[in-house]
Amino acid sequence: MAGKGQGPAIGIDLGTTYSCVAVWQHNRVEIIANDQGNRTTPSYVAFTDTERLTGDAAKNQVAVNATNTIFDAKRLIGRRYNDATVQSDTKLWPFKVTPGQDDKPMIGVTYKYEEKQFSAEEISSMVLVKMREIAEDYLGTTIKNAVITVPAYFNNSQRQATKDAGAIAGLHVMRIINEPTAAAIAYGLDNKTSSTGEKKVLIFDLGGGTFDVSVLTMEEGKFEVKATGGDTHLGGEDFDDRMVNHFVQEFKKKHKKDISGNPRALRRLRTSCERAKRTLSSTAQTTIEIDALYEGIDFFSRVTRARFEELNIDLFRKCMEPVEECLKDAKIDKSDVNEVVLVGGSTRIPKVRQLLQDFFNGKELCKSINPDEAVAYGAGVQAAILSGERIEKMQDLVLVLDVTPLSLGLNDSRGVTKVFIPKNTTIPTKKEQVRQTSKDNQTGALFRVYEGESTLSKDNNLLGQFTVTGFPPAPKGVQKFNVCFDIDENGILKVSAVDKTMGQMQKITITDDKCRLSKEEIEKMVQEAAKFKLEDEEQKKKDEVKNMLENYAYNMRNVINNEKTGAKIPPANKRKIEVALEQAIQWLDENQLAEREEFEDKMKELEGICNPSIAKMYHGSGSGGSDAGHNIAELD
Amino acid sequence: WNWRHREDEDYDSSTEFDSSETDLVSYRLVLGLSPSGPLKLDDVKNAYRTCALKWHPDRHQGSSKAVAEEKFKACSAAYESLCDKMALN
Repeated sequence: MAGKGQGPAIGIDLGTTYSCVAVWQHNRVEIIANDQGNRTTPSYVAFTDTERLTGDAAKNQVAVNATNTIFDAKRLIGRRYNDATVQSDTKLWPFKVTPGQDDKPMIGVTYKYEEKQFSAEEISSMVLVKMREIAEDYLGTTIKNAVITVPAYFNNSQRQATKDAGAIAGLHVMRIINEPTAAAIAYGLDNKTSSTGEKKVLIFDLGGGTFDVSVLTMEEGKFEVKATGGDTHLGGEDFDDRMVNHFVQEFKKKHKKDISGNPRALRRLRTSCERAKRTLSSTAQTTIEIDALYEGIDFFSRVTRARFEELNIDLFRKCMEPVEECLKDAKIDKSDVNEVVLVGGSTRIPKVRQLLQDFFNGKELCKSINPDEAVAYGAGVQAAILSGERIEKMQDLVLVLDVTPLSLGLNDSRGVTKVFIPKNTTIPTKKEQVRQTSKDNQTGALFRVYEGESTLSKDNNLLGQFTVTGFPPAPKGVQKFNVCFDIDENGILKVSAVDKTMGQMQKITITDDKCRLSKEEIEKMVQEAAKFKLEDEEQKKKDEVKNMLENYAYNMRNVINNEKTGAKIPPANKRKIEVALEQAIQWLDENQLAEREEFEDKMKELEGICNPSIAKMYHGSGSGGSDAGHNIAELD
Repeated sequence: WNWRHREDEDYDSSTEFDSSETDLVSYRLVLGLSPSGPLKLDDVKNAYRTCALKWHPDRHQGSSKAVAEEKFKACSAAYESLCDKMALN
């Protein structure tokens, strides 16, 4: 069994702004909270002069370290720098993105006073390591296997790059599954399939920064993505923006001052607004209270749910357009939709729910699972199934049949992609076709493999290419090739071509498209990740030693200054200790960034001065303690 | 799909994909259906579901995995072909 001896398998929802991890335990899915008690963790990694931070710690310091705090890596992963979306996103980010080798986008940061470049895979791997550690801390075992989710529209490169990120994080990625599919699994919609056969589901996923709509059909455990749509830049943060602007105006009116030029004030206001927004999903009104927001002015205000809705109503309405389009693309009437599933924190907003429900003529929405957690939940279920341990119990429950997200084919001599494997084909699968030469006296044939739905190859994504050469010249059409497309259950595509007369074969495994990391590169990154981990641990130990020294110094000062204990130390020693303590505390203030050894040396030095006197002090009073008959000894 | 409506492309269609009677029989056998007689879509679906559950590589480990994968591919191909055929009729 795949999962035996390697701890349980986990499901990870690797999100654009937040990630979430789940595990199957005691016959149900557990969403695992992080060390801060949060069930979702920011997909943030920050680099400072002294350390590397991930998750909440990274997001919390974003305001003071904007250029070295990386987020949105998911918007870069598996894409080329020249990609139009990368170009426009780069303009919005405070961190630097530059084109690297083979047009791969590279993220530049300053870490420990050094310029460093990271690929999106590496940043994502750091988030994955964080998620894995959260699960390991909770379960008390090491974890090797994981199922990771990706948006339904992710192409082969993006999926492979996500897999690579898992490999760098030291995880065996058992399967990459679609986020909407995971949400549908979470609700067990697949096994609710009645005798009516095919079931149609709409997944409405409104998160912090992205909005995805997917229409799925499911039948016999096979999930087909019929259409996807949405807005890659619409989400909770936009609703916060609107509220922030509203209060900036209010502040202007009330106090005749403009705070929009003050980033710190705006940041504090934004935090309050986000909190207010969340509160307004369950109450009709709430207050905003910020002390000394701007030039010492305290800001108090109220906001009602109605007001919040009015500020955002155009954005909320905008969310309904992709729903309509998506249904149109899938050629499904809204009255035929069997289930509507809510995913993403912003689907808690009552107005959004109401608009959606109205659109579906009052249909009941699937909302019993926490919308932030539904995707991880489904990934957790899938991880349990794949790890095999519980297959007996789940025998008839779920068999999720993966499908190809995009059509795959070969380019022909006129630049048209001839499809071998249409999109939504169940995998594993194998398709064979015979091809022949298109020109007279051709002695070499180029095979170019594309993915995408366009008829023209130039609009599709080139996955790889190879050539077959060395066959004798002949009129066109005489030379024939047996071409085979083979996809295994992990979605790895192999394309082979056999020259029918000579029997020569050429093949390619589509894993090494140019942008993709090579095995060696991944290995290097794994080692680098281990190095970072060591550094993080070293930093942690250093902090511990520093805290120990600080504690010791202050405790000792309390002992000396205490009337009772202080009196038991001879004045000469006391003076010596006082001086040493003052020096140590001052040294600490000035040397916060000293090395671990220095802290340890300082600690020893201080102990050498203090301990003899303290030991004497306790001996002097020790036997006079309360329990006369007992043999009481000091602890070292 | 494309091999059905291939016109005057540079690539020739192949004979391997013609759904001859023998192919239909073998598709039926792959799915564990009777080789002849009337066919109902529901029966085909049920047969496919049983086969898919049995042969999906996720349910096999070690050496039987590769065998299962090939069987699964054959089942899927048979199922698709039979469904296409029934949709045409």
